[in-house]
Amino acid sequence: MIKEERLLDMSDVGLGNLTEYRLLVLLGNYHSLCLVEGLDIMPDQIVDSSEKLLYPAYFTTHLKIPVTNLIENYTLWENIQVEVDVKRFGSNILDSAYSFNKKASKEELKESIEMTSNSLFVVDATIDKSVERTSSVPKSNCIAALEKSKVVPKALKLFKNIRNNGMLLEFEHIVECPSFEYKIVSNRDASNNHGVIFAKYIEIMDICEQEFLCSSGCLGLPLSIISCIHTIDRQTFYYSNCFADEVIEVKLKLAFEKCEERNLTGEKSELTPYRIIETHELFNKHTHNLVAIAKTTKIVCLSPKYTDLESDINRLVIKQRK
Amino acid sequence: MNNTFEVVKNCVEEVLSMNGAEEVEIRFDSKIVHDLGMKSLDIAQLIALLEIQYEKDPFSEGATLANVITIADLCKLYE
Repeated sequence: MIKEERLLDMSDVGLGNLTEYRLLVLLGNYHSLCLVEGLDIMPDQIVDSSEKLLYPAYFTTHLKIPVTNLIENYTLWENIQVEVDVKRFGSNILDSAYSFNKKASKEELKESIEMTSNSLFVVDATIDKSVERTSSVPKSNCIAALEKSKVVPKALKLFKNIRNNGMLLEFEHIVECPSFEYKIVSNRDASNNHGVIFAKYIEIMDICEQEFLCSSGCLGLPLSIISCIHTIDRQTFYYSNCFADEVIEVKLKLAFEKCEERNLTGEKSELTPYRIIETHELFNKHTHNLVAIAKTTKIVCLSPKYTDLESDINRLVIKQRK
Repeated sequence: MNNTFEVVKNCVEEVLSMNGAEEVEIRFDSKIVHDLGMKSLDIAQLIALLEIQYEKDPFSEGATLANVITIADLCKLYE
């Protein structure tokens, strides 16, 4: 287990705020460090008994963000505390739990952002193209003494079930979008010859969502809505990976609903918020392989300066469906 | 030998049932990938279930996953 307090620096947030993508990368770093905690090696030196390089490939992540502790409220030089606990299920499945919060006194401490993930050790075929990218088991002296779990991770069953049945949106009015295409650009979205980092798919989902919400051919909402949208729950299942120059096809369905509660985030001036529930399915356009499926819940919190947005959402989304 | 095979077979069935796969005949000489259609994650789950059953992790003791091709290969590790 790693428990650390530190400042969010420019490598975490640039000059601005934390984002879901940046948070996942940060948690992913700590996860990797957990795997070699107390050893004299780095995460990229984990090998199996045939000396093949291994890395943990994520196959599920589930991020839960309390509405009172939104990711976007974390800024540069913020003092934070991170906790990551990794257990092994069998020899090569990892079952991990994460906690992330602002450093604060007990009285001021908000509910933490939590994440769980599952990953599988696979052979890294990036450098040696002759090796097959298959699962393998780390050599005993190349992995920290992680606690063993005797319980099948819940998400493992779900991972298979979702592959068979997809994610269901149980709402009366579901808006289905035309599919979007996203090209993986070399050295922007993925390093040359390397796969796309798991967190990048979240960013791609959000880009497509923004395109759908705001482009004139789709819902056509004002661009200012983007800064009002906050993820509060995202469960993602990763089935395969993509590389630079490949194209991802994204299918998005979403439903809007007006929240009954007011002042969800604790901001007294907040107007009635909306909830967006959406599913994304990502495919490799060339191979048609399923890349990822995710279900996300977001809230749209409108401050008084965005009063017009409330009318726009009503006119373009809520009333249009009736 | 028979007992080990039965335990392995039960664990394979448990993993395959999660995939929603139709019933597959599991024999001693069945190839885990080619005959049973098990993927990397299925095999990892199978190994975990066997570790719980036998309280033994042959892979941390030097066994190589790449050498496990058939159900018989797997049974040998837990006998």
